[in-house]
Amino acid sequence: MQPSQFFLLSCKSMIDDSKIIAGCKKNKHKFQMALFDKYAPMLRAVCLRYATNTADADDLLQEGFIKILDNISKYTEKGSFTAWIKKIVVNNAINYYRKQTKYRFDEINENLHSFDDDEQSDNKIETRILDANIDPEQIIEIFRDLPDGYRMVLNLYVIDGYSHNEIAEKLGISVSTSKSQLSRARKTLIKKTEIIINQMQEQ
Amino acid sequence: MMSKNKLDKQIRKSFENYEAPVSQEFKLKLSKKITRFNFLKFNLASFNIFYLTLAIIGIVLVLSVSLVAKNKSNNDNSIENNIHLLKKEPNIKSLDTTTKENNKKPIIADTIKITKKRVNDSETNLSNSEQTIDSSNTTKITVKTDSQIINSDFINKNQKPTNNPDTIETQETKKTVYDTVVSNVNVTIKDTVKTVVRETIKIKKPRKKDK
Repeated sequence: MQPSQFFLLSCKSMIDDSKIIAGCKKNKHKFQMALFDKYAPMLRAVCLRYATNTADADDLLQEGFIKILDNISKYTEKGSFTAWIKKIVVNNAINYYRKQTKYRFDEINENLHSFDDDEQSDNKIETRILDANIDPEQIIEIFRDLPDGYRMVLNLYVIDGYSHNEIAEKLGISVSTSKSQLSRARKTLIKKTEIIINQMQEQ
Repeated sequence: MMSKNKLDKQIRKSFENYEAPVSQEFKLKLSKKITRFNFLKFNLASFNIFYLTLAIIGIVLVLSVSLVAKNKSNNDNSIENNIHLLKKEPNIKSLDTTTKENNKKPIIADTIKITKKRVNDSETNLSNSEQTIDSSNTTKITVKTDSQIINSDFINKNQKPTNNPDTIETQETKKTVYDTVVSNVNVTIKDTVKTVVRETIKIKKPRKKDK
């Protein structure tokens, strides 16, 4: 990295959130781009978790960022700004997929009894997963293979820390559906992770 | 249950500081979108030409619509207030009217039906004649009603000499008609309307007998 580039990057990082937010509230393009530079990688990671592919993730990020700029005047600077912008992006992703996946929840509910509940084997696999160090990118790849309903519930409950009641409200499903979706999502995740671990061990 | 929590924790931990880099191409695309967003977003602090244009277009539209509505209502009122012709010049016996019902009191609304007059020297055709005028030259002439004329200016523009081979001379005279008008809504308007009627009188000369 050249010294000038390093200087520019360090200058950018020196601009604190309050200045960026104040500039964004005045619709100053420079500050809006500074906000993007600072938070886009983190927000893109969130979008990748919820999206089925990279293109969708980029669309979600773009849409979510415009929503952030549109609503930034409502931000009162009381809570964490990172949590606030993350919430906007998550809600945007939920709304995006809610339109598409509503019927899929029903489809999944019909197939609830097709799963075999072999708890002992599951526990063994889980311990293997805990021992293995899996990259977040690998987990994202597994997430993408999951059905939309599973992925949404898993993301909301496990990573973003929403309760089942909140998930049910956000996704427009019942609490029991949310719970069953999570249970099956975990099982599918474990099975898919096991395959990855086996492939890693073979290599 | 414990292992579930551990698994959840591990997944959560793996995503804790995870960041996905954004491509430069995407950044440029978003930058353009943000510029457009700023341009379109209404803000008094950044009141731009777009909103100014919209405001001007809005004002012009409102004004034009109100003017059109006003003109329409004026026209409606004028039609409703049909003016009745009460008195005519003594030489004119009758005028063609817009409605058959008001034959007794001929209506002259915005449009006054007046006639194109053709003078026949030979015979007086009373069946076609609606106006009979005695000329100053003591020649008895018959005026035939042919067309509808909106106003005196219209009469002037639309009068064309007929291509009748029998017509030899064309004489143009001016006739002033004083009309007293009454509105349709039983309100008597005592204004005197002065209507200038230009008439083209064509006099047909008698054919010379072959010697």
